[in-house]
Amino acid sequence: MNRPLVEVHNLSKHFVIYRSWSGRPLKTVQAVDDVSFFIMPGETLGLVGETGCGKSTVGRTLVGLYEPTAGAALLEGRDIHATLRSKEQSDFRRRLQIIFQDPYASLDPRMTVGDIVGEPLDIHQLVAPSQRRERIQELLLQVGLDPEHAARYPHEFSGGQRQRVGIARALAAQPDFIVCDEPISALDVSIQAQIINLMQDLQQSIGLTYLFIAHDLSMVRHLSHRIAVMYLGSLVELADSAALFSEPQHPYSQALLSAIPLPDPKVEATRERIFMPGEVPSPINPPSGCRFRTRCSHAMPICAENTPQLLDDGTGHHTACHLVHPAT
Amino acid sequence: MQPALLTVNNLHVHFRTYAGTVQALRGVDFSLAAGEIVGIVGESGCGKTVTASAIMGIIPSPPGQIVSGEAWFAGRDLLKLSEKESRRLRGNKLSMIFQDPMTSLNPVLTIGTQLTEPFIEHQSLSQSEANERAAELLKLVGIADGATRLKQYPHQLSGGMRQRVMIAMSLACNPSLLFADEPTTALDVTVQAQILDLLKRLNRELNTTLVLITHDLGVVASLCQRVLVMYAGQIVESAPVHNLFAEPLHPYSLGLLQSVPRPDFQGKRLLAIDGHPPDLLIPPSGCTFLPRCRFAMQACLEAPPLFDLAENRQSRCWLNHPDSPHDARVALAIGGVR
Repeated sequence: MNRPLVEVHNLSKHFVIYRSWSGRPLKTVQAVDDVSFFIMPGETLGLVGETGCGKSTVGRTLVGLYEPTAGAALLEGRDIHATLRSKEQSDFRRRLQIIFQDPYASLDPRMTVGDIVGEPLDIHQLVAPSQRRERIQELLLQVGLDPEHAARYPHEFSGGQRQRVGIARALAAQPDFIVCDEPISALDVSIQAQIINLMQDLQQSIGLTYLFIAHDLSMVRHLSHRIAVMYLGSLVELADSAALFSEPQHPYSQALLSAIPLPDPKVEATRERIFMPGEVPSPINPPSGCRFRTRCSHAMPICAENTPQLLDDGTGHHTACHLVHPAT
Repeated sequence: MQPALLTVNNLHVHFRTYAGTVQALRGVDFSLAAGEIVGIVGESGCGKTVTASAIMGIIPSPPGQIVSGEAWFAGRDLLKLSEKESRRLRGNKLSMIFQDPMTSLNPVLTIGTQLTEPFIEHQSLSQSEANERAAELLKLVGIADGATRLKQYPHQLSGGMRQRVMIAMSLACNPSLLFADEPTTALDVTVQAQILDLLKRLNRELNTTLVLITHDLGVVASLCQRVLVMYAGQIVESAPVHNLFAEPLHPYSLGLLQSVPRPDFQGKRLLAIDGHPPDLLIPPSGCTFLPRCRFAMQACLEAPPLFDLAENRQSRCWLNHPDSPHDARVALAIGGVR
C-alpha cells in the first residue's frame, strides 16, 4: 500500500480568547480537538460540518497558517510545522497551497491578475525572468481564463473568474496538496459546476491531492473519495463517500444527511428528516464525553463519561459513537 | 383553477447607473393562486429579488424605476399605489423575509420593539397586547421562552433564531402573500431543514401564499408546487415542480438541473453551463441565452416569445414552436447529448 501524502495525528487547535493579567488563559475556544486522519496521494478528502465546527481551522492548520496546540500534521512523513520553522520552509510552503472561500476578498485589488498568479513564481524562483510571462499565460489558460487578461485587475472579473484566478495562483507553486476552503460556496449553481469540473480535470492531469472543505454536502459527495464529518471540533465519522451517504452510522451524520434537500421532487415528497433538538453548544465549554450527546436522541449515561474514539468497523468506515462501537 | 391572488403583467424595471441603464426586469408575467408555494430560481442578477421588491414597492428610486407593468392584488394595482397606501399593505397583507438574517434586523432595537411594530402600526394594538401577540408568534416559529427573547437584542441570537424572528415578523399580520428571498442561504443545512419545515407548516395552517426565491434546486424540490425559472430579467420557464425536474422544456432549466450533482448521476461529470449571463446594460436582441445554449439555431437570433404549452407550462424557447427541428427537440427531451 502507498504511503499517505498527508497524515494528521491527534491535532488540536485551541484559541485563547481571554487571559488573566498574568497571561494565564481564562477562556479558550476548543476549535479543533484531537482530530486524526490521513489523505492518500491523488485523493480528495471531503470535510463537512456546520458553521463553527472547526473544519476551516483544520485546513488552515494543515497549510501552516496556524500552529497546532497539540498533535502534529505530516507531509510525506515529515512534520509540517517543525519543517516550516526550519530553513527548508520555502519548499514546504510551495507544496502546500490553499484556495480560499471568498473570491472577492482573497485577491489583492491593487495587483494585476498576472502579478497575483506570478507572485508564487517569484517567491519560489520557479521560472527564469524571461519565461515568467509565458508561464503566467500558461497558468491562466490552464484554468480557463484568457491569457490576454493578465494585465487586468480583479474587479474586472466575475466571481467564478476570480475563483479561477485563485486556483491559478495555487497551481503556480506546483503544489502536491491543496486545501480548498469552501471554494464554491460564494458562486452561482451553474458556475459552481464549472469550478468543480476544473478541479477534477486538474486532479487528473497533474495528480493533485485535495482536502475539500464545504457545507454543500451533495457537491462534497460528488467530488470526494472519502468524507470526514466534524461536529464541534471533533471528527465523528470518516468513510468512503458512497458508504457514508448510503449508511451513515453516527447519529449526527444521519441527521446532517437527512437535512440536505435533494433536487428531486419525487424523493423529497416521501423523505423523513431527523431533527436535532436545541443548538450547537459553545466550543468554549463543550459537553463532557461525546460532544454530540446533548442533542443526540440515543444518548446513554456512558456518553457523558467516556469520549468515544474514532474506530474502524473493519471496512474502513470509522465512527466515534458508543452505539456503534460499545465500550467493553 | 382558483382565481389568481396576484397577477403580474409585463413588468419592466430599470436601474440608472453611471455605466448606463441596467434593464433588470424585461417583461415579467406570472400569476399566483391563493395558497400556492411557488419557487423562483435563477442565477444572481437574473431579477428574482427585483421582481419581489417591485411588487412589495421597495425598489429604491432613484436609481430604480418601474418603467411599465401592473401587479393586480385584491382588485388593486400595487405598482400604482401611493406611498401611504403601499405602507398600509406592506407588512400587513404583503410581507417579505429577507436573505440575510444577520443584517436585516436592527441591531440597536430589541427583538420585542421590532416584532411588535407591525401590530402597533397596522392593528393599533397597545404595547402590552402587542407584546402578548409577539410572544405567541415566537412560539409559532419554534422559539420557546418568548418573553425573555423579546427583551434581547439581535446579536444575542444565533443565525437560525434571527431568521425565525424575521419570519415571525413577516407573519405578524397574517399576510396573504409572503415573499421569502433566499431565507435559508446564510444558514446551515440542519437549520435550513427546520426553517423550510416551518414555512411548509405555515402555508398549510394559515393558507399563506408563499413565493420562495432561491438558487438551491433541492430547496425547490422539497417545498414548491410550481417553479418559475428566470434568466436575464425574464421568466424563461414556468412549470409544476414535478414536470420541471422530470422534463425541462428550456435549455437553461436543463442546464441548471444538470449542473447540480444528483444521486442518480453519481460519478458522472457535471454538465456546467459554459460562459456567463449577459450584460443587462446592453441586452442582446435575440434570445438572451443564445451564447450559452447547446441547442442554438438560426431562429434564436430573434427573441422567442413565452410559449403557452400543455399541463399549465410555459417556456421561452423556439424549440417549443411546433415548426422547430424535431431532432433538436428530441435531444432536449433526452437531456441534451453534447
